[in-house]
Amino acid sequence: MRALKNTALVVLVAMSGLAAECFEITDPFVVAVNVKDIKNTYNVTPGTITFVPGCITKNPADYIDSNFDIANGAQLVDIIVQTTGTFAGNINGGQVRIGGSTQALQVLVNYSGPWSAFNTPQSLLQNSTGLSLNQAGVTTLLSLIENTSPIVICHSGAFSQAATAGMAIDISIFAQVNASP
Amino acid sequence: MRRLTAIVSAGVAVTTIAKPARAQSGLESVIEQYSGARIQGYIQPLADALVANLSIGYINSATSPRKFSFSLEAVAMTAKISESMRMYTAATPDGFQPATHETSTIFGGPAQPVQHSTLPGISYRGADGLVDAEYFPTAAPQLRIGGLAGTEVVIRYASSSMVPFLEDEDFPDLTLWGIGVQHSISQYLKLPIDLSVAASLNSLKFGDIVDLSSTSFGVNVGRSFGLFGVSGGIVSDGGTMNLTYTSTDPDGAGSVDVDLDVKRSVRFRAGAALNFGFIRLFGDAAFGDIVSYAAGLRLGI
Repeated sequence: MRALKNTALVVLVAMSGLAAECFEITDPFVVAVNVKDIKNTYNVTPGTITFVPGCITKNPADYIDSNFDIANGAQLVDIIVQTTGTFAGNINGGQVRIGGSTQALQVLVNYSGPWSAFNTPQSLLQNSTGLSLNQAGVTTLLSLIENTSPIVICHSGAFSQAATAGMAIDISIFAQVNASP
Repeated sequence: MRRLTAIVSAGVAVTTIAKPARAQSGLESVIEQYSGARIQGYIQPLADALVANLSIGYINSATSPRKFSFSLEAVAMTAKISESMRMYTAATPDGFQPATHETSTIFGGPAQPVQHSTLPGISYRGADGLVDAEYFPTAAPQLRIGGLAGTEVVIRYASSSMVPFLEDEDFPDLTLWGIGVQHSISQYLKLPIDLSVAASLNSLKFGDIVDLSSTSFGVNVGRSFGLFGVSGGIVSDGGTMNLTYTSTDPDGAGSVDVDLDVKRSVRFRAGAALNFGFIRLFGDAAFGDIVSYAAGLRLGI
């Protein structure tokens, strides 16, 4: 009887050990983290024809939780350009440029077309009329994100006629960075 | 009385192990990347495995004792992770081409990015599988009281501190409880075998974001041969996993409150027990869409 009890206990302990051995957490465990808040709104000054309104800087704390450990790889998923306000003219040669500083900018996306067409959000993935992506800008953007560096975003372009009141251009960038929690 | 004191003391010791507060876990980090529509395929296999685990481990034998009994048990359950539970067809972001891709579930391996079919430079990636396992285990102590008009009641409870293989950085705080009831039918009938009906209600929470509930019911037959007992039967189990979190997915950012249905299924179960009086060793297995096993040690009168 004692031998049977001992055998039973040994079997139970062995099964528990086996269960623990079979269970492992993926290491490294990589999540494609949605990069947030890489966006900017340019409020157009009435009367403007050519616009170079200056740049804004997104610091790492703005777009990635510091608790993540960045792994190799990042993905650009989409860019969305949207206008608000009423305007009868066109946007000509609109550009979004990005870089690590204002001295090292690359064109990320070019856009042009009737202002009213951009009242509906124009994205690379949907309704992409008038948007074109520049590969050098993509490479720069992904490198900055992977290195959790500050990202400088600049607008430029022109209107076919003088801007009126209440106009704005929104740029949103949807990217992911591979990271471990 | 000494035995009863020992059982209660052991239970208190197990349940009072404390752990420090946790930061955000891997599970929480991955869930919040997905919208409510996209999270289902990634997390559904976990819900299926948990329901398969929680519905077993209650049955020691096909009959319930007629005289009062009281015991403390340690039971471990584990669900076999099949290949079909490792990959799923996931939707890519709205407008992306291709519209779907094959990627890892929570039990899959490393994920690979998918390139847009016509837009160079545009790509999308899911999350790696969090758990690399052939089996997904669950464990809990449980208290069994029998001899209540041919009815046996089992109460199980576990928290993070009692499940050592769930690390702080991988899973949020775990709270598990369950109650099982088994009622002897053979006490009313003259049968050559034991016959009983059983049911259970289970709840498992991971932090504030995962809340799973499941139910099971079934019929069991069995017989004892001295120290050795066997039982078999059918069990029907199913449940719901509720996820509540804040998504950062641009296609569905904001508050998410979504229910994942664990489809009710019927499984065949078989069990055996070795009874040494104060100590009983028991095992249980259920075979169906998911195969799960339970093994436990019972100490009691």
